[in-house]
Amino acid sequence: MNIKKTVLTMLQYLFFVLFVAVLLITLSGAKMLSQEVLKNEWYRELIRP
Amino acid sequence: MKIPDSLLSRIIFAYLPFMVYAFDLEKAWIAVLCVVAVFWLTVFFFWFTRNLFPEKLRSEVFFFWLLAWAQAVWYFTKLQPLWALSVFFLIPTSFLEPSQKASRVRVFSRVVPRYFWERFLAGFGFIGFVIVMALVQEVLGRQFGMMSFQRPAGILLLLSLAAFLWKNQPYQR
Amino acid sequence: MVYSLIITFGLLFAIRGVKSLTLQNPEKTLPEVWRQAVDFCLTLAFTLLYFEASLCIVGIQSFVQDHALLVIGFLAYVFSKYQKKTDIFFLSMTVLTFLIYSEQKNLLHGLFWVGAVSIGIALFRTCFLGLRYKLLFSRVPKMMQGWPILCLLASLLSLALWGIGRLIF
Repeated sequence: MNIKKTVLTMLQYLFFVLFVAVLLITLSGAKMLSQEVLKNEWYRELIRP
Repeated sequence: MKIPDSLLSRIIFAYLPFMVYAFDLEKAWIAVLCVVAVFWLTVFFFWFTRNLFPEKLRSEVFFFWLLAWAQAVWYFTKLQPLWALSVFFLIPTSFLEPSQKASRVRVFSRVVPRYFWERFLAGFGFIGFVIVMALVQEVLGRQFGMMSFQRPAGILLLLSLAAFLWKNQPYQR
Repeated sequence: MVYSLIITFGLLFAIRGVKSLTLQNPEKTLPEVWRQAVDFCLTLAFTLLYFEASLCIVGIQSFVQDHALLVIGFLAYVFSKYQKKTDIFFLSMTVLTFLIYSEQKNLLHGLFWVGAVSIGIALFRTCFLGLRYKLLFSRVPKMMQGWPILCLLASLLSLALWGIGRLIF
């Protein structure tokens, strides 16, 4: 039972690390996409403060 | 994460960061849709994946998720991440805390559809609340020239009125 | 903008976000409010300073610039956990530091904003505490108890602070 619980906990921590990595990669992709989107004149006008 | 569970308190707290934004009606729409979209997505995502994360790190994961969304929205709209506070106040984080009853409900239980429906209504209610406040500010502040209603003082007066009306709803059978 | 920040976060911390203070004993509560303001100011200042310092490290500069909010969030989290503060405190630190960093002209200007916001919040909380203490001895109608009277107090207070601010600055 202890081994089962340890393995489950390790899998949870692994999932956590994967989650963080996926989010960081997605953020980098979002940054690149935003640079393309911000080239549009009408979009810049829409979000102008 | 102790936040008040009453809906009025959560909506008022969630509205407070909007006092910092110098908004017109159009931008208020964009901000509130952003808040509510992230709110629904967060509730949906964490309800199904909460058991996949280590118990001790659940709140940290939630904050990381929230800040990642705030960063992404900043890339696209340059909107200051104060709206992340609004999402934080709207979220019923009780299901992330192991000591709370909500966290002991099974992931695919019969109450889940009703739970999601209530969260959907809360988001919808918040959109309506923000838009009504923005409209009133627009009318009183710009049309009638009462600049106080575009400052926190006037906004808080409107909040007081909204809280008064909420608290004193006619008796419902 | 500083005025709006002071009112928003002043009200937020006056009601939630910090360990609850008792209204019945203002002699003990008042120094606690100012002590929390000093905590707030120092945490905000340190987060900003550490973030600016991390921007000077050549190897991670582009990562820090691209993920500014996450880096600020991490720093605010470390400082908040060290001081055993609440989650609202940590999240407020993060968003305020990011806002000040993105709006500041230079570091000194940013630190000036940090000081101004902290003092403003402490002043707001002091006045709000005083008003709430006076309310304990008043007969507030039942339909006004709770959020209606609190928002009304905050509204009148913010109006007064706005007027005083316009006179001085």
